[in-house]
Amino acid sequence: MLKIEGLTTGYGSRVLLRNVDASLERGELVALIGANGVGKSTLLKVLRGELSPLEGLVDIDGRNIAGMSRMDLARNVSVVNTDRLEVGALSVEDVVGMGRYPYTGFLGRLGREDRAVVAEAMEAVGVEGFACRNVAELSDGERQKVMIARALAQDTPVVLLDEPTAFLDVASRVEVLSLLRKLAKERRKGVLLSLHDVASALALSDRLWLMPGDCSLRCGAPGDFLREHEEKRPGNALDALFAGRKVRFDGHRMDYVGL
Amino acid sequence: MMCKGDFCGRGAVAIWIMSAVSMALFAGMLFCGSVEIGVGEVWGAVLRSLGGRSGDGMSDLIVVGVRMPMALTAFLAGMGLSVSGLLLQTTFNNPLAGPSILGISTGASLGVAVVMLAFGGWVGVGVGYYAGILIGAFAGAAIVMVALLFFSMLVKGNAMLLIVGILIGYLASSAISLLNFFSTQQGVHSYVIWGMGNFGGLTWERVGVLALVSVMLSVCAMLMVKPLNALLLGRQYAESMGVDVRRTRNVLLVISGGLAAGVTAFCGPVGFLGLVMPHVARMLTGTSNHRVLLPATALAGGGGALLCAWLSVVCGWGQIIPINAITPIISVPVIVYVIVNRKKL
Repeated sequence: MLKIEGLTTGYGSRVLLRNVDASLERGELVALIGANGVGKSTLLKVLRGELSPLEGLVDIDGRNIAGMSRMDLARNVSVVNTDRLEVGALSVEDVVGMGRYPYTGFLGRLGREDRAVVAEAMEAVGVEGFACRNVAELSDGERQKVMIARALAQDTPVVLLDEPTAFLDVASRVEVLSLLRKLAKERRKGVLLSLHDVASALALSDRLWLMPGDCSLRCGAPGDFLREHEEKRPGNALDALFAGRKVRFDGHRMDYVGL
Repeated sequence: MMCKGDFCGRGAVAIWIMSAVSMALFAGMLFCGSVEIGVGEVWGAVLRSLGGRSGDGMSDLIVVGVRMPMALTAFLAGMGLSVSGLLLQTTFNNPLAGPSILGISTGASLGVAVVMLAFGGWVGVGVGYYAGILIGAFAGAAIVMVALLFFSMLVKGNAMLLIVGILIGYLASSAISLLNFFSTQQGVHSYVIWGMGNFGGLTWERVGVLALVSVMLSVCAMLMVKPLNALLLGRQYAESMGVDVRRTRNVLLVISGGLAAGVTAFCGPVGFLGLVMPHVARMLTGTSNHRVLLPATALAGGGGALLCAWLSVVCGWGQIIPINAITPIISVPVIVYVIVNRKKL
């Protein structure tokens, strides 16, 4: 559904990805993994239309996102980011309701249908119990779930998440990732999230997009990468991911350990 | 479980209470003053004026010609400044933003000073002169707005932008001082009087112009509730929901600058109300949702200004205390509360 063709990203002369192809299908949870500064956030910026690619194109169901209007794009791609929100006193329902903005009129009033979508989105992530609570008073994990509910209410085929679990404790992290996996399956959404937690990514995602920092993007199922690593193929992606750093990938633990 | 329509619950209660308090203060403004006028006489004068008949007694002259325009001016000015402050707070995502702190009111003052001091000698007192003051205020506010916009792109962090705003304010103040220094005595006198801040002394025509500016721009602000709410989530989320953040921000700055400039042109630089009243509205309504907060802020601003105006009349024992001597007394405790409890707002 989401297709990347011949994509080159970066800023000016600094190229982060060169001529890469990839795709994201409906019902699929894909984890984007790479070291800090390798260009994960830049790729996500390009995918949500905030930054133009240096070359190549991104299309959703055959339509180039560069040709989409702001509203059109907002109906195709929703976003959840890392920010710890300081929004002031908004109710959970207010925030989730904002997800309907690409569909509402000039004043943003929610109609009966919009309200139904909002209620359903809150139920899907399990925050319907505190629809009236102030988001500022929620825990980080709960707040991130509210932001995911907002993305659901936006009703887009593609959901992009930039390190959505960065500030969360282990329990909330696992909860949020499992939730995202469930939503991808049940609602047939293409969910792409950047992640630092390699073990969770290997366990929970359908496919991985790895960015080893050589301007390439390596796509494949976790099993493929693990097998590649087990067979000790030279240049296998899991070893390449943090090459030159003082870590190695441990196939039993399914995670990186110190040298 | 669904909660609240927009105006049910706490927000609605707060808005009703503020309306009632504002009306009481408005009445207070009509009944109090340096000249003792009996309740019945005030009432009679009000009824006569509402009926479109003008009495020619002394009480009619004072109540309808002086007190009523002053009360209206206070309400409109407070409303305009507070709505302006709320828009700035949301636009810059900073609870301590406000037209006077960011130097916008000072910029407007500078514009007025240029007109009063540099041209005051030969423009003369007439319609042209007041139009000139209005235009000067708008131009001054616009220049500061453009500077703020420019620096908001350069400096990271909200505290820094506040400091830039304060510095711009100082710069404008020093320009005003220089203009004063080189101006005629007569010009300086009228500027100093204007600069103390005053809700009184406006003719009905000028109250009408102020009403036009304040109400029209506040209505424009009401039309922006959707992008305003989206901005609460931050630029990135707002953009991902289809909001053109840059354009929205420019429109919001034009509206808030226009409000601050309009009020400043007629009432002088009135400090603090624009910064504080949005917080009062937030505390009373318990929400940051602009659909409720914006009208609540307009009311709180109007009511707050009426309270200040009423105190300036009642506590002055026959004279009117300059409004800027009163606003800090009411406002500073609220600001301190906001700083201490930042998390909640």
